[in-house]
Amino acid sequence: MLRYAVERLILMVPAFVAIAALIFLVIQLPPGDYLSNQILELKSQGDAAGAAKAEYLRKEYSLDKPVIEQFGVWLGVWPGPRGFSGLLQGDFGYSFEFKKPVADVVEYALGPTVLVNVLAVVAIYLIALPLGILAATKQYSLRDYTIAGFAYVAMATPGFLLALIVLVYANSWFGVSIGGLVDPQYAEAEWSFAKVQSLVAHLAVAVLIIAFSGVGSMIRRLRANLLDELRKPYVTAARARGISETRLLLRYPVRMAIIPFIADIGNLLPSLVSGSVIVSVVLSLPTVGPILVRALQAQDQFLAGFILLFAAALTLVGTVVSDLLLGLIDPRVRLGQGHER
Amino acid sequence: MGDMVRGIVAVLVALFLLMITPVGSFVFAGMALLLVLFALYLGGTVSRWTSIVEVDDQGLRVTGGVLGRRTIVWADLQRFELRHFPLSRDRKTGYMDLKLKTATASVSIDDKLDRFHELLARAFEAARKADVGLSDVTHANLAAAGIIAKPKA
Repeated sequence: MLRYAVERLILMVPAFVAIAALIFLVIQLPPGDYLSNQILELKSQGDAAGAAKAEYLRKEYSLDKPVIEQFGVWLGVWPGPRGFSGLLQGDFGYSFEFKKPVADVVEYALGPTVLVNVLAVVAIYLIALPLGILAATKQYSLRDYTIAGFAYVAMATPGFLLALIVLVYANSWFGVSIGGLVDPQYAEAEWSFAKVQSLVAHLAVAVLIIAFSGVGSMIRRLRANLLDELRKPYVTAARARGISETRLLLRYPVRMAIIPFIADIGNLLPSLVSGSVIVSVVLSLPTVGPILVRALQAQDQFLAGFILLFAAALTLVGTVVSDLLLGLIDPRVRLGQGHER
Repeated sequence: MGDMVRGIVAVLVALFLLMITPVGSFVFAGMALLLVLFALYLGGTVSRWTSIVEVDDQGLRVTGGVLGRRTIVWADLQRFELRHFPLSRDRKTGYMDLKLKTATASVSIDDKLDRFHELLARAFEAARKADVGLSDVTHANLAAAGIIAKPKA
């Protein structure tokens, strides 16, 4: 297993570099850059000092160098004006839009982003798995139709719309504000039990809203997978041997039916990060989504590049985790596909 | 050969990245961990390259390599496990790993070994004679490897 894990990690390194290169190139594609545009603007306004400062930053961050060199300096594998000083060395660059280092801009946003989205993934699995199983085990029953109805509503409801509805009704019915990660009175306060309570309540609402549509599609897919498994001869054979229904269900068909979802972990995290951007704006969540939108609009290359790379890293880590879990849960060749090396 | 090249390149890259990363930082710790893992991987690959596997009617002997001489006596076989590790998402590519265990020794052999299928067939025969229980995963992989008949769909 260790060998397998290391092989997956080795493959992850070139994949990460390739994704980083792609992100860097895509951000560079529009003509000019933030500073070039600003220098031109300041010069036209006659602000020589501002233009000189912008020119200094351009040289400091190697923006006057060829793209390949800029990329190497940004990653930290090529020496720039300040030696090796890039992502690897913990220097994420400078945000020209926010006028401070990228690390300072994202410092308080990365933690909530990871927390909210990882909890959303956990919530999707915790809610969808039992509901999918309940629906499949009583096909075409009232229970099945009720769960199917819930799943369709969940799939068809955009997250931001649900966020708006909850925001409005929580305020008008209960007089509470669910925006942000804590109540406004705790925003600047020291940590206390009341603040933790407020955090948990706000977090639960945000996580459920973000997870809502994911729950719907997962219920439907799990139900379909499980129905396929339940029709296989080994289930009939196991029933004939007298294995209890719950044990039979959990031991074989459910295990086989959830395999595609384990393979999906890698894709789920980044799609939640990008998909939750509008929900984050509506709920005033301090995540990286709204910052990314602003960075892309302003062509703030280091900030946008770092956040996109962060999402890519989540994808890669998720993919490796799902591969390792699959290796543990189902280390078998698919019959009928042949075995190639 | 591919494993060896991968291992050497991985160790060299991790070493370079470790050298240009500030000591004591979070990235440094991560790179150090990766370097250790890659070095273990390279060590394991070298060990496999320098090992000699001999099979006869009595059992299986592995000599050389890092772990030295190990012997599996067929009659004492307690565990027989065949796992598949996919290297692509569609699971079409990958390798099989055979794990054999007695009370005193354990051996792990992957299908990159020459004449692996002969060894696998011999070990499976021994497992049957020793009445070793097989998991459903091992059973499915034996069927995929052509050692036992595939179940009808």
